[in-house]
Amino acid sequence: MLNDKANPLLMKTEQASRAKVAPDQKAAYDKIVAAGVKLMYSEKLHKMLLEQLRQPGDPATVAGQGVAKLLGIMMNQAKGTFPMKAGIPAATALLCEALDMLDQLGKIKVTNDTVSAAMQSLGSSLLQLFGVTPQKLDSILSKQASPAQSAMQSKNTAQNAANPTPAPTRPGPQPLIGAPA
Amino acid sequence: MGFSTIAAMMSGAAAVEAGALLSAISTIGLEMSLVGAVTGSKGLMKLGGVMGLVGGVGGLINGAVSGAASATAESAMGLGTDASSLGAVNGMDAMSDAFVSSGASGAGGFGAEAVNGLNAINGSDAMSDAFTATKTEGSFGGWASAADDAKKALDMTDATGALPVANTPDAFTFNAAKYSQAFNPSTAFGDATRPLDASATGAAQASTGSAGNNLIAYSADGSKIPYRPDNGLYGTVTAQAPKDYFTSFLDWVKNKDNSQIMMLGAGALKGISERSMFDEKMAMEKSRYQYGNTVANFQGRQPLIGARA
Repeated sequence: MLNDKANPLLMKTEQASRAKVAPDQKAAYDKIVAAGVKLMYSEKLHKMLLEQLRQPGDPATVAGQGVAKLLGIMMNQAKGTFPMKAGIPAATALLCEALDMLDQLGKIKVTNDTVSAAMQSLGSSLLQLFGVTPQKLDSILSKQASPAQSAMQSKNTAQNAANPTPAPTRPGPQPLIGAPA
Repeated sequence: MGFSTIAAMMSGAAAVEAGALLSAISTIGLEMSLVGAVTGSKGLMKLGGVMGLVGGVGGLINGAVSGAASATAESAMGLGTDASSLGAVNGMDAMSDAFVSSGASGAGGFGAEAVNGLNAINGSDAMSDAFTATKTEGSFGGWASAADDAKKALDMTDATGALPVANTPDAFTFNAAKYSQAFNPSTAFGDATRPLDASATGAAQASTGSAGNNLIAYSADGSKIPYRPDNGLYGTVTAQAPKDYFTSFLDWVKNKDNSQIMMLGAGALKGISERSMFDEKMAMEKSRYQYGNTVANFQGRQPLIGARA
């Protein structure tokens, strides 16, 4: 989505991110980026954007938080059908867009460190929006570890119930070799 | 829109399933590694690697345990080929148009959505009605009457206006007359047409599912905590600094003995692999056995050759 006048580093980052998107996700990726850019520059969100820019702290970090919040709004509007595998790379593209805007406004000077800091902020903010904490991961892993075996067993039981093994048919009594009839 | 509000809305309206969550962690990790590679930031690459490991291993375990659930999540979250996913994305254009045209920073639009979202979370229509009334009427008289409605809705008939708060041990005294003097929406909210939002405290409580009369923060003695515009609507008060957040995450990974995550993942995968091999072997034996049953490999009741009649 960045134009030719954008910072080369940002263009490179965006292109690298897009290149890693699976082919079947490209269309979704493009649409999310388009919708995000549209929202970002919309007149109605202008106030939110300005407020975000006034946040204290490193502008790159603030930009990362802002993009995460933008993605959060979009995800919330999508009501659980947001394609995550396209959405996260799209967030990177939106971050590049935001950083480019800040660069053109003279708020920041885009360098490797700036982009890294902004990406770190974006990642951390997104994870916090999803409610990912060490405690949450502990609970997920502990829940997944214990039912693993039981899930396998129940799956097998279900399969056996669906396809019961036929009982072996015994040949029955036979006259013994050499026995009188 | 505050960080905490969006987080509360996401946790309430669209709860992220564990498999999708781990997939998201993995994807975020991948993106961080990728950007780290472009910018040459080893720290970012390392962080991305850790996140990818946690999300990837967790996702594998989760996928192995609940294949059907993961498949559902995959189709819902989006390989992008199914109709629902593409429909959602296509709808996003319309959504953004509607969102923009409805007035995100005005009284309607997303503001109303935010109120609805918070309603869904904390389950109190009455209080949001009170807020809506306050917002639209722009005077505290509206708030007082709306608060009365809320009280009725909550079946609080105490004539003195004692309003028990569900998530605090002691009831505080709600005095509408007092607040009608103290509360000035023009100064407290600044812009009366701004979208209604929860304060940081309110949103945090809303996300825990506590009772609904907590959209405005009150101190223990019932006095209203001063409204902080920068923290309420557009603030990031609850967003942990990236450095602190990832430090806690890395500490969590380090604190796992001998990289417990890997062991957990490897153990689960080993068990799954062994189980899979066992299943295949059993299936083969079963088919062989069944084939054997279809072929008469014995002669049944027949006089044996050489036997006397």
